Amino acid sequence: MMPALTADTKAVLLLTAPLLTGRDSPDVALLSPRDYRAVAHRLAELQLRPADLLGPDTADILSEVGPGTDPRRLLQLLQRGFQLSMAVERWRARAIWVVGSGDPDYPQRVAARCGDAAPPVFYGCGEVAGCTAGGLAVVGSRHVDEALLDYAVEIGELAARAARPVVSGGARGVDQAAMRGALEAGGTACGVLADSLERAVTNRENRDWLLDGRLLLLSAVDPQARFNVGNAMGRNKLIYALSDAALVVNSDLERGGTWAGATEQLDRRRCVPVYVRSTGQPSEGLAALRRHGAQPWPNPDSPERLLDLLDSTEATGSPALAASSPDPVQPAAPAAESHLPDEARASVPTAVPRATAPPTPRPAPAAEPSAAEQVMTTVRSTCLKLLRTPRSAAEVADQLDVLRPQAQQWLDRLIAEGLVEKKPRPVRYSLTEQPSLF
Amino acid sequence: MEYSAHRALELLRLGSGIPDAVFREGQEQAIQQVIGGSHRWLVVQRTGWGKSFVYFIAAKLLREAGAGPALLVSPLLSLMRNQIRAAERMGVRAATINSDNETAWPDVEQQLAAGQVDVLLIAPERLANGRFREQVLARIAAQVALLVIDEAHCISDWGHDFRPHYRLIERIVGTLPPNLRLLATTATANQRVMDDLQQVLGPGLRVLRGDLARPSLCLQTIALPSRAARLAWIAEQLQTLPGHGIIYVLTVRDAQQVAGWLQSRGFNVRAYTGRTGEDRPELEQALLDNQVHALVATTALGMGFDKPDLAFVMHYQAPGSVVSYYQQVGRAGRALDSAYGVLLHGEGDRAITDWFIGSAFPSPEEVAAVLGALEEAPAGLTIPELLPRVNLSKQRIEKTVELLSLESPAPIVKVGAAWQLTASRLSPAFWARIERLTDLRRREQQQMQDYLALPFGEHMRFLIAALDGDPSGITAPRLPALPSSVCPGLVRQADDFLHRTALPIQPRLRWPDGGLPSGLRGAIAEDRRAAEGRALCVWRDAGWGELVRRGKYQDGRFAEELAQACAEMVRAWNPQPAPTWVTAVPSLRHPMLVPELAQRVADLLGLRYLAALQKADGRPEQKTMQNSAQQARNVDGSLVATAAPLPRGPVLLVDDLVDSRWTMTVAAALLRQHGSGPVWPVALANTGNDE
Repeated sequence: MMPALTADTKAVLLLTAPLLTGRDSPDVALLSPRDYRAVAHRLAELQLRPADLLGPDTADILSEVGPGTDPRRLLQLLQRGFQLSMAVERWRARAIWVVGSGDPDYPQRVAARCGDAAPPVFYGCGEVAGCTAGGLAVVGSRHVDEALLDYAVEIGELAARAARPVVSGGARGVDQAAMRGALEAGGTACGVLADSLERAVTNRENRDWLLDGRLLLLSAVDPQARFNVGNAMGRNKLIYALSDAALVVNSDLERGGTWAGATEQLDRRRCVPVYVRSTGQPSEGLAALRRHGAQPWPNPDSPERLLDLLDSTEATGSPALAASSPDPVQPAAPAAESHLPDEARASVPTAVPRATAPPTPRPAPAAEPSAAEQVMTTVRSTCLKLLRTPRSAAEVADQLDVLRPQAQQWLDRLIAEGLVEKKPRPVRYSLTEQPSLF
Repeated sequence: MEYSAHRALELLRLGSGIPDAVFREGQEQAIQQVIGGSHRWLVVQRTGWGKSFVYFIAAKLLREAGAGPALLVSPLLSLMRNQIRAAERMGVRAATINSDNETAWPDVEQQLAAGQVDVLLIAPERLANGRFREQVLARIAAQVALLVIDEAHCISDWGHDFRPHYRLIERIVGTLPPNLRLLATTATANQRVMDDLQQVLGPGLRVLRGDLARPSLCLQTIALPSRAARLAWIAEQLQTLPGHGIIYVLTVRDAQQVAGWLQSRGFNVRAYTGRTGEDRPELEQALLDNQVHALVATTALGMGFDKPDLAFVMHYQAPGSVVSYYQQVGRAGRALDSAYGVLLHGEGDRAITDWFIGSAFPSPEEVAAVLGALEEAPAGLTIPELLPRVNLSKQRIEKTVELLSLESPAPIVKVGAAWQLTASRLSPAFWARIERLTDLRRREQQQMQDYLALPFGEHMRFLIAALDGDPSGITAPRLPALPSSVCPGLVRQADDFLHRTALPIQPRLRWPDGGLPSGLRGAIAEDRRAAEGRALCVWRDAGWGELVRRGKYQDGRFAEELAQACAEMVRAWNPQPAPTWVTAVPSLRHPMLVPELAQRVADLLGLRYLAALQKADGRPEQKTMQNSAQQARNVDGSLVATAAPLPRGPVLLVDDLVDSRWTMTVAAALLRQHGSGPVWPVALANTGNDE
């Protein structure tokens, strides 16, 4: 059932989480996962736990925790106790729980594989044991044809027969097809959301699977957080990190989230073996992933074969990192990523922020997106704000002070990305209704 | 945080307006340790002791040291005006947000955003309100430096009064990290409640508990079975008792009846209930200023009311628990040498407290009905959308929804305006808790019976023991017992009064939301409406109530006195234009009961009786329809006019019980449509269940 909120996790939430209880929560300078790790290391050296920051000796401890972290900033964060209570109450009412990196239910695979970049907390709904169950990650794009959807459903069914979870992102298209395949075949699934966990848990179809104990929804961002590209990309690496092996069903070439997530795994993280679909319609993107080191999916034809595949721990390229204790004060060795030269990141065409906690101002990632992508990033966030109220293309053009065909082109792109919907009579564009997973 | 004893004392003197005031025992230590964050405090002291000085001075000192505002949660905001005035003298900027002052919210929000509020006072319900949480609280939640929980005994299931939203407070307090400053206050807590609070408020809790005994109070219980006798007793004693006081009653109806009786005897008293609304501050002030002899009040005149020279507290009926009783009676004689606390009891009291206990929580059927309707609606349902789908009164639906939503995890949650099922099922602990609380209420009721049986002089000891206080220093009452006899002549007059009550039946002006199957919707046209009518009594009321019940369910014929009383009532009422004929609401189940009564009333008034209406088909009894939407649908199309055209004159429309008024509304529309003049509804009893 719902895991209890530990004192350590309360401290972690105070330091790192936005604790949204409404739209007007003022901005605060939260600690990024990395900043938090630095504090946690220092606490460990002092033989202290995060919970000790909430005790009577806080002022003394904080003066020891520096340098590099302003004690006043930490104190300000730690004094958000009432806000923490209100946020936790809101989550609890919706059956959302929180596990922190020091808790036994925290997904150990993520702690071991992501190291200092591991999210300090996971928000979740459903059977918490699913956090540590591993499984087959299935990824692919939102817009695919029937044949690929059927393929994803079959993969989900196979995982169900092997009694292993499907791990996916819960997005439309391949993600949902694979999860639905698993769930409808009596199996389990873990959806790793990049936003709006709070809304997803009351969606009726999700609710029935959640109550059944077969669907686990996880998110590393605040349950009220809205969509943002950075979170979506940060989420991708968690899908890999939570699984035993990953299958890419399809991917665009050198663009899109699937490509970025897969190449990040293949080139740098190498947590788990990455496979690409090897039957059906050939794909440029998948072929290119092969060149990055992905293996062809061996098309296991029985649950036993799939289990063999999942239980062989060899990651693509180099061996997977050995699992180690998820204790926050003794985290795993830093992942390979932090030692990589910037050139390695530059090969990722879309920005891949490393942190999963969103609102913290961070230095710009070293990867330099194309000029066109930079424009589109701005357009995307501006339009998404604008379209919280449904508007016509003409109104959008007017607001952005561009010609209508330009506005139309951008709106079409946002529709293609699954972020915006077009509603008829009168034609209005609005944010995609979130988020039935199915 | 540096604590300045000098500044604290200065604030106390400013606030109290007493230049040489000093702290009471424990007050200063509590302030110092709460702001220092070293300990949380539970202050158990009677109203008037100065609990508010602890939190207002603590809040002010915190602000002066640069900390954020304090948040004070109290169900008694309306009674805190005196305390707020004291706070203002100290320079504490206090702002209140509750459901009554929504227009002031934007101002308060602005002040909050600008950091101009030192203490924000809210009612517990606010914490469950989405708009308040998201738009107001979210802005300051990160800065709250001190949380104050008033009436903290409500956190415990063992507390004597149950306030659903304290469940939410219990969880919020339980989740608070230990570094958040917390102060809890209450006037009454027995050992069991204090143990619970210790658990919730955390280790290191310090308790400041005052003496419970009230030597100035002279307590007495008097058995007077009939209500008429009790009314007579109160009227008789009020003539001689010195000073001003409160007369407590169990229901709103009782408050009106008792106040009406005493006013008819020339006493300057006023009724004070939850429905008194905006006049409440004015009435409280009138009593504080001795402008009224007494208020006749329900428990709506609550815990925070503080009049040090209150000379008596009488009870017209026995309340459900001795702790509630202690709180109510304890308002008398705070600054007097002696005061009376007299509890009258008799027939019917037990039935009322039984009803309170029985209806305190939703039944399994009610919960199943609400959850079932939500199960059918994946997008959720609003309360108005639930009404036609669930045959429960609006009040019961709201209560059910509220209690379910306060569970954790909750089986339902409000998303926008609609209630939706969540990914949690209702825990069996929900029912276990209801059972536990109901058992507790039963034991409290029994304890009250024991109290009623005590001989004069033993009452205070019993109350203190019930509160786990120290009964050793209790002394004998300082006043002689009041007589338990009552003048028979006055009892007869009270009895007459109880039989002389005519209540207005307000006409309905609109068809129900969403319209009726027959197509009627919106406003009811003026020439189709009923006029304002009269009901002889309230169903089950003292006076005529028993005769009505017997006629309807036992004898199958209404007593002659009722027909006469009806005719008397119509004569005294004298509606204009005067009715020229009489008709009755028909029934298939009891075809003769009401027409026969209407016939007799017509004869007594010398008017013509005509059976103008007929039942079109058999429907479930109207009383089985639990809310307005259901009732209106049940009546729609069920009546037809028999003779057309009808007499053109104004008509008296007779029924036995009036409940939702939909039957009267539909019947009146039919009569008007078929040519009658204005329709004057008359009923024997009003069930009082109307929404």
